[in-house]
Amino acid sequence: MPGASQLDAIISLMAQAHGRDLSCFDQAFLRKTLRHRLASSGSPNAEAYAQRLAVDPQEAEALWRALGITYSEFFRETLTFALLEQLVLPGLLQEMAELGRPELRLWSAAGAAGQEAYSLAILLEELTAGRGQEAAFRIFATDICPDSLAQGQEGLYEAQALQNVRLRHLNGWFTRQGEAYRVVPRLRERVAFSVHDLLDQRLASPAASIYGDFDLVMCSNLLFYYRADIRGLILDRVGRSLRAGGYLVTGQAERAMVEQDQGLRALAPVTAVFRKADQQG
Amino acid sequence: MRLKDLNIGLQLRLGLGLILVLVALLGALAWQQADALWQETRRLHEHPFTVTRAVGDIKASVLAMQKGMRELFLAETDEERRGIIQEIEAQATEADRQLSVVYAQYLGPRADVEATARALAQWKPLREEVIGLLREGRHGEAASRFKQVRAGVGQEILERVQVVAEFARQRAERFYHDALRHKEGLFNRLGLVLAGIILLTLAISYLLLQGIRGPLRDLTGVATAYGQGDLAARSGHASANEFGELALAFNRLLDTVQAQSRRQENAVRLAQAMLGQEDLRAFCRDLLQALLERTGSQAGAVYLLGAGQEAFEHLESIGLGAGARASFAPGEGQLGQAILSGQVQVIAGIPEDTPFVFATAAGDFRPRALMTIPIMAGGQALAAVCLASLKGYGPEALELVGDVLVAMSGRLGGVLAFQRISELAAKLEEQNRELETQQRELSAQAAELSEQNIELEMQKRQLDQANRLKSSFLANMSHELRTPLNSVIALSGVLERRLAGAIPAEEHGYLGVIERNGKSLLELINNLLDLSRIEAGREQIRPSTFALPELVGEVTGLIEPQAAEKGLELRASLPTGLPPLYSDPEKCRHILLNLLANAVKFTDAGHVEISAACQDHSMRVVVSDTGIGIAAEHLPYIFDEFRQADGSASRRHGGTGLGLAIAKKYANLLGGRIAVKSQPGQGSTFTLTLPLSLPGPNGGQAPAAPGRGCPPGGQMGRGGLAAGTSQQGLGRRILVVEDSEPAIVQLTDILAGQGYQVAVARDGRQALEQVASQKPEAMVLDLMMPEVDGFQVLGAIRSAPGTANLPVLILTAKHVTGEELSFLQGNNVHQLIQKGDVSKNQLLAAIAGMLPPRPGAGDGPDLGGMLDR
Repeated sequence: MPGASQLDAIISLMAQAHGRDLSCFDQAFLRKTLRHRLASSGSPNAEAYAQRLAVDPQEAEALWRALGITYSEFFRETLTFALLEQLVLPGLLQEMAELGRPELRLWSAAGAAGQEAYSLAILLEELTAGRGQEAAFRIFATDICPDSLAQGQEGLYEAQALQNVRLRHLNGWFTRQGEAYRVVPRLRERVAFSVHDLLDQRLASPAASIYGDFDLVMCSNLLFYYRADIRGLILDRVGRSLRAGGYLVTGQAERAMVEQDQGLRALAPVTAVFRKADQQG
Repeated sequence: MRLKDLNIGLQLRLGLGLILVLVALLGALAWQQADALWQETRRLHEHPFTVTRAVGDIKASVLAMQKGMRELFLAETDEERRGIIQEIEAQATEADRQLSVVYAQYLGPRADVEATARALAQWKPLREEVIGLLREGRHGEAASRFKQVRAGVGQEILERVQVVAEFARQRAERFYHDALRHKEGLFNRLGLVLAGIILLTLAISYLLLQGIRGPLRDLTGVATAYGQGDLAARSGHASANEFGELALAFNRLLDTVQAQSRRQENAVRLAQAMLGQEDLRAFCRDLLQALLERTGSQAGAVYLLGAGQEAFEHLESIGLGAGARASFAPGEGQLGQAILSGQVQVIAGIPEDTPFVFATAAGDFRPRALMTIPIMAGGQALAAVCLASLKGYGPEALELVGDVLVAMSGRLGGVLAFQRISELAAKLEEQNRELETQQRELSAQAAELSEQNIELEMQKRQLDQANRLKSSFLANMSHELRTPLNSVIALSGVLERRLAGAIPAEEHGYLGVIERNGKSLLELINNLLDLSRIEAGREQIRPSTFALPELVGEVTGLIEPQAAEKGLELRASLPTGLPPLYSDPEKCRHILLNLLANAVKFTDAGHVEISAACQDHSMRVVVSDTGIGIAAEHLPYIFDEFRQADGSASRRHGGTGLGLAIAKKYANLLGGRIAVKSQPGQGSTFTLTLPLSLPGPNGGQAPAAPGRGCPPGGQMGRGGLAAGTSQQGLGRRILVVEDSEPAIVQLTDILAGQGYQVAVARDGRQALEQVASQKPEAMVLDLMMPEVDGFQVLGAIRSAPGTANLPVLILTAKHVTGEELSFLQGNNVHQLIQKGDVSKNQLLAAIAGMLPPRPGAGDGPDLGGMLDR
């Protein structure tokens, strides 16, 4: 396991030689990933690996790619999605009708290949089904990885990513193509994919959404990869993109990180759904 | 025709036939000789032998007759004589018969036989003479005569017969010699013929043997040589017979075996090439190279069925132009169809526009033939290998591909599976790391949670206990407190009335103080009881239908004296035509009373106003005052129990601090809410929003006001919650220049929601056309657009005189460089807004802010426009 000084050495080396900033990552995660790369590249120890990194741009790229984990599933955290389906989304729809808002705006931040975004779209479509008119919602799915976004736009997923999808949803919203499943075109039209870097200081919300004002932002299984202060920055920006009374959904494992945030309150204990303070009391 | 060329069958038949003929010849010869011998023997038998026997018989008969004659002499009776005579006659007849035989068979001179016959004929009368003499009894005469006859005629007969017998014996001798001579000749001839046959048979056998063994030896030699590795060894034997055919067939067999082994060697080489790589791309390159080399192709490509199974995507190619890299669907074009068939196919007649062209330095060449090799798995084409040749394909190439197809399919399937497994392993590894990270966080959380849980559990227990104590304390104590307090108030009231003028005024005033304080204490206790009831969930709602203005009138009537006492004006402005409310009137009264009392309490000068309005399905009642107001930091807490804005206010204004808490709880119970806006020193505005119809326990609407909405044209409430729906645009025309469809929809939505009239241009050219045809009042401009971009549009607008001052707001996702920024600044841009770095309200404010003031419009909100909407 690379020690703290070696870790620092590798971080500064990556920044100087390859222009990649690893300092933003959580140390434990960085260590784990380095250990994995160490084993994969066949380097005997951390020093040898650091020497190799210095001269081998391909290994540097492999390390960078290994740090950008894009794993995701549909309806990944059952409790969270149950809450969304039963409480949060119906509440938002009702609020939208009461306040006369034209549409719901949702953002799946760092949503890999759109699994979260499509999960939300399925729930909203089903909640608004039978109302006669086209459900009024707009979902933005962003990630920093263009390959993942391309996959999301294509809407083609392996069966493994769909293990939490209910049979009814599977039949209604996917078509089988060999071993894989494709999201039906109607659902694909509901999600707008674009590249967005959550670490970008300039932007609070994705450029495609123009002005944020989201009713719900889903940003799960991302925060814990980053250092505490970076997490704070991300949360701050995401919080700004929410409208007053909007919801932030994170991963279960990231609950504790959000609970410290002043502007966000957990919807209920032990849930990873938070609500931005409502200005009207 | 040469003997060699004759059929072996024919040769054998001819040889054996010849031998057969010789044997038959031999048989015939032997038969003929035997027959000749037989003739000789018969002649011997028929002539000398018969004659000799007959001569013997004649001799015997003659001797018997002579004996008879003699006996006749001796006979004593006639009877005896007669018998002997008969015997003699019989012997005479026998002699005659034998003489006729001799006559027939005798080969010598007839005279000999005739002389014998004559002698016999002479004897007869002499004999009869003797017999006659005897009968006459003249025995002596008879005896002499007999002796005479016997010596004469009898002797002559015997002599004659002897001559004949002698001749016959000589004849027999001659016959024997003839036969002997015959036999020798026969033996000689037979020996010759036999020797000839044996020689001939030997010759035929030799010839046949030569004809069979020669070619056999030749073939054996070739087979041995081939077996020892001389693959070129072939039989040189050539003839038109079976061996010729055999040699040809044998040569053909060797040719086939050699071709087969060559093919197998090719296949083995291909298989070796295929085994070399695990990486899909490297494997395909090696495979293609090996296939090109072994099938005589000049170019080739491998296509893989995409993940969506909709198209074959180019994976690797050698020697082909860019056209061959395009994907194609199964069944699409020549290739797609050939692959769909599932068979290896050779396509000749390649059309002019084929994507398969050899890219060489000298230009592109069209191949003469294409070979498509579908790689099948489970009845479906998984991948396809396409080869192209300038010469076309022979059968060997097809056979070779056929030989290796199964191995190739299996191997490619294996490599694909390997790649898939590698990908899955990578994905799994990624998932693992994420799960590990998750797990680390969760276990930390779990530890923290369990600690918190214990703490919370303890706190909860304490709280429960405290709560129980509080409730029972409140219930008991309130009752215990109220009873004596009522007595105190009642009796102090009685005393105050009765002692008016009886005691000094100052002391009488104390009684008033006692009564007032007693009442406020009672109010506090009552409020406490209300609150504990609400908290215990025991508060019951008793809904009924009632008119709000009546209720308001009742409440203002109650508050009026207090207001009048402080010199405040209490205004109630209720529009006519308000719908009736279906709710709990008691609680509504309580809320309004509380709000009004509160307003009066905190207002020292000015007025308190209560107004009401109906919006959608809810009633909005606004209580505003011109009092001291509430500081922003206290606003979040004013609805908490026992809280007033600050301690000093409480001391100055009295009250329990429970009024607003109860009002808010009641409002929530009735499905409504209370909001507050305030500025210190300027007064406060409390807004109560209640549903027109209290939601029933099952969510349905109560029957009193089914689906009733607000009448159109009803007066809008002032301030408060209505701010979000205020209208800024009011039909002002804005041109949005934007090429992204989602962005257009979003901008159009929020701008139209504000009452703007939105025109859209989807690129720079359209924007300029629209500006020229109908000038908008302002423009929202994107920078990044195809062809004519935002900078060019801006430049064009600014250089045209009519639009030089058109307000332009730049809304872009582009990271603007310093140079671009100075260009924008130089062209009088109202504001530069980064997409994603602006809130909705900021954006709307920016757009509203760039619009020039409308000529003739006032500063305030245009209520007429709102109502006309």
